Amino acid sequence: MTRLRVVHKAVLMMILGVVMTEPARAYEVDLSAGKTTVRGQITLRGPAPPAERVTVLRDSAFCGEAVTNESLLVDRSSNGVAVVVVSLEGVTAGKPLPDERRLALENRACRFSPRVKAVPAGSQLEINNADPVLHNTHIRKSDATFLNVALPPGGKTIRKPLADPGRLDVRCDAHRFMQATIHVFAHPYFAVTDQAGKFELTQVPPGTYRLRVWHEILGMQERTVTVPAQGQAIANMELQAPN
Amino acid sequence: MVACVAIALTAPLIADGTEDGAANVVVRGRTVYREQCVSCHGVQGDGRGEAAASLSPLPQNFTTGVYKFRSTMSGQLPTDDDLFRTITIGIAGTAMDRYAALPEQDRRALVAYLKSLSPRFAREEAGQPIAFPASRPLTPESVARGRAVYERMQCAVCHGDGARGDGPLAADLSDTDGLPIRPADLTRPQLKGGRAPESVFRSVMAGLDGTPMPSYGDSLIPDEAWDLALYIFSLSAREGK
Repeated sequence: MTRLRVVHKAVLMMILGVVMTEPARAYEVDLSAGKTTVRGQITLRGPAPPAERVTVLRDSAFCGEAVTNESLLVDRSSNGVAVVVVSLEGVTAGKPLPDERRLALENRACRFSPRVKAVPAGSQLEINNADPVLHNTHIRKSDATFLNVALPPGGKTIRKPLADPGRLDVRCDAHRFMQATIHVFAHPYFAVTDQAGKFELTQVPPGTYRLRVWHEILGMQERTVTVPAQGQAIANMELQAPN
Repeated sequence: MVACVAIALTAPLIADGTEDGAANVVVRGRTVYREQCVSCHGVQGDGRGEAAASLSPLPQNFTTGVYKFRSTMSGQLPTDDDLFRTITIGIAGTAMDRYAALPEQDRRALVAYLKSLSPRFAREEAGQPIAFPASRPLTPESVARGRAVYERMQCAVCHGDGARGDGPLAADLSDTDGLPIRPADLTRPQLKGGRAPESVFRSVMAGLDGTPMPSYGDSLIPDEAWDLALYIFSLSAREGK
């Protein structure tokens, strides 16, 4: 019987295809851990393509006949790329997560606002529709549906907790040109670049980490950053322009 | 492998709350799956069986844990009863047959096996089923209220003014795999999620995950969704289908 039990378990594990993986070490707050600032600029290598105009097929009376794709914003003087999500991966203890735990995602003038946002895990997503047309907010996380909610005009705000880290891709099925991305982090070492492509991460503990950058159309890249115990570390990165 | 089959055939199949009981049920479910489901849904449960290429819509991929026909809120896992229902009644208008003739124990075992194909079921809790409101009868008043909800929620954008699945957006929709998908013709008596009004209530409140059909569970109270479901029910009843 004992042998059968073992066989049962083995079969079940085989069927389940269970792969036991060690969970990533949870982030801990240690106020004394970090004193260094990591600064950098994300720039574009190669010429910035002209902004694309997308024809509006639905609700064009309200949304307009065409919209400009605002996904790649490049500073003319420095080639800095705005709205790049930058994060330092591998820090296990340091400053507390930001206090702001609310992300208002508005459907306004047939756009998602904000278009790209990074927030700490545990934030509350609040979706509303300021437009007189029907939108839906359809959010996917890798290959699974995270949320797909209808937003009739004048409807109420819809709330959903963002409990786990990861990237959420946001679309409207009624207006396919509408796109947004939400990045949820389980640590506080993340930032979104300003108009000049610059970012700053403060109170970083010493160590060697991966600097991960993500841009809506330029994709994701990583580099290694070594952070000294004091002072600052500079971490620039160049992203290849699309062909 | 011979040992597993022998166990499957001889061991009691009731999930008695023990690990062995649960394992038996999954093993039995796999046997039933290999007999009944594998040609469309594939050995891995990824929807890529031998017959899959000729089917539209494509067979369900069980490995993602994303299910259209649920009684739970958008993004949540279905309940066991949701999976059991779809196996039992099939999906009208598709190659997914009804399997009501299979013994209930085997359909329950299949549910357990399907859940084992996606790691989400081990990681996440199933959602709580959205409760049906207290029964409200089909009357001209409830149908009129339901029609008003249909208009206010702008269902016609996809489903059309006459609910035949021919709204202005109907030809421009795709599922989350990027494949074209048509809105349902709601005047049919057998809808994909089952018969109205119950299936309409579930689909309106929960949405159909993996498709453009969103959840209205935050926008409607259950009584309004039930009126809407009665209105849809009245469309097939009126046409004597």
